[in-house]
Amino acid sequence: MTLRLQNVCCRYGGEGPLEVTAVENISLEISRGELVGLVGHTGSGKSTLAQLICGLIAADSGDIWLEDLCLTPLKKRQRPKAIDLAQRVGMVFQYPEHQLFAETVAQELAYGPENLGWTPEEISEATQRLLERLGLPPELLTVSPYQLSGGEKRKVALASVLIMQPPLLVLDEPFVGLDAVARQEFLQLLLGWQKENNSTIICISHDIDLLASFCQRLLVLNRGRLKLDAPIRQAFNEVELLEQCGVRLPTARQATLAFQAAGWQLPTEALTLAEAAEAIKAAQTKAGEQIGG
Amino acid sequence: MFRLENLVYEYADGRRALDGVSLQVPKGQWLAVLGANGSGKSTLARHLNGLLQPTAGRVLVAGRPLEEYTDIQQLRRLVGIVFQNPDNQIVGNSVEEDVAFGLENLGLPRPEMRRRIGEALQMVGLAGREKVDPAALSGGQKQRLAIAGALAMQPQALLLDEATSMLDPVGVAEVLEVLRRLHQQGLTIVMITHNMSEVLFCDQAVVLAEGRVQLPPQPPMELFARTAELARWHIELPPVTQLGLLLGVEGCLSLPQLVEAMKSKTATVQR
Repeated sequence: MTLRLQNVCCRYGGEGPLEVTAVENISLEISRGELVGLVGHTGSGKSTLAQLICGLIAADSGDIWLEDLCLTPLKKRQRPKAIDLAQRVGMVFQYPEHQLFAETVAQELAYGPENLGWTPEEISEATQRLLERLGLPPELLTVSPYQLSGGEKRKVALASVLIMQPPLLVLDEPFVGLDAVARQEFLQLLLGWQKENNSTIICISHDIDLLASFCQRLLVLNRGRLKLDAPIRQAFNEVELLEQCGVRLPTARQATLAFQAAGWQLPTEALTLAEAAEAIKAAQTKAGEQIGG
Repeated sequence: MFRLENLVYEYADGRRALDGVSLQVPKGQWLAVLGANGSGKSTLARHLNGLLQPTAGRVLVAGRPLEEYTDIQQLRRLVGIVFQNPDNQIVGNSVEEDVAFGLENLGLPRPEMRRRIGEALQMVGLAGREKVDPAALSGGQKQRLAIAGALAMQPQALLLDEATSMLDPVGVAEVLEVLRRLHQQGLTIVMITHNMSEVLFCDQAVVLAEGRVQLPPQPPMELFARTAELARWHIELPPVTQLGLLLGVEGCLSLPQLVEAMKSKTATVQR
């Protein structure tokens, strides 16, 4: 499923002096299966863009297409139905565990699929498969979601979206509030699911080191405009632009640049700490040989 | 400023969020409290300004046990707290109204209120923004406003419960800069965080797990050299320290430091 945006604009505050343009003239295309990071400082329009893509708010102008479904029809009564949207796109908000509401985990997970008209058998089969994938014990199904630990709650909230197998998944700061181990575990679960379904992931996060570790492409917003859309390795070459947009470089890239500035000869395109360490070690060996030889 | 003696906090179902915590925070110290999700960090912080009462053990604030503070407001004035989500802590329709909220409850005379509001906003770098609608502020500005609200009460200590976790890097830097200034002026700061880069600003850091102090307060540099123990308690090292380890350098806290360490290492190899 391809996501296409053409000249999308979105404003708040009605027409007049209080009007704020949250998203301005954004055009882009994302193919099925892409892993995309979406960054920008607070108020840059990230969350607005995410909500536009999920059909939660309407654009003021421009076109948004989720494959064959238009989210921005000319006439209001042609707006997409919730059921058509839910089959195409899922959104995981910040602190998704705050939105848990059902009496048991099983009911929590069944809520979306029931609305999509799945049979009880289909729901039960999907539930079991998903719990296994997320490493949650089946006994959990009869437990109230409120009795779970923080990490489990987050997983159940994620599962309630994943169960509908959306071809496009949008996540808004999914890692905030998780400790280091929980964060890695959550990411690996997400990526495992993504691989199985070949879903597209658009992930908003301030954790640039984490985005650099798994995204293929980076979108940078600043004051509602798309300032950069590039493969992630190349994106971090735009040092000045990123700084203007309040986006910091991954630690790995900062490190290779620091060594380069200190006179070491090494490539600076590292995305992960392991890559940076490799490059620095190679440069160290080379320097040793030159002087030693 | 704070003294915890064998502090226990039990939930209604008998599970212990805190299971015998003893800890001292001297006046003027900037302490980071680290721990995995569910380790008891927030429960601990909520005892320091009386939001929670211990099941067993003692909490002393400014030399007095918690139960002696019959006027809970007095305790809250002494110890300010700032939470995670900036949007949940703002009540005023303008920046100055928001800071005034707590002061109005004290029944202070107007001129005194004005003076305190001015000082607090000055301290967090929001002077001149008195009439601005808080909704128009950035995340970092909102958290600084929340800090100003606490400062106006002239507290002796400030608690921050993951106060920077929802901010972008610019916002985080703004808040840390304010904390650095307050620390210089002698304010006691207790900061709960998952962001290890922030810990480098603190005097000491303590690790909590399973409701107990697992690694006592110590300077960040010493703490981050205890890699095996930190891994055991799910504490991540700062990224630069991690990179240092991959390169065979221990306890490295900044890139310049890492570059220097690698330079001297290379020189040694060459000799």
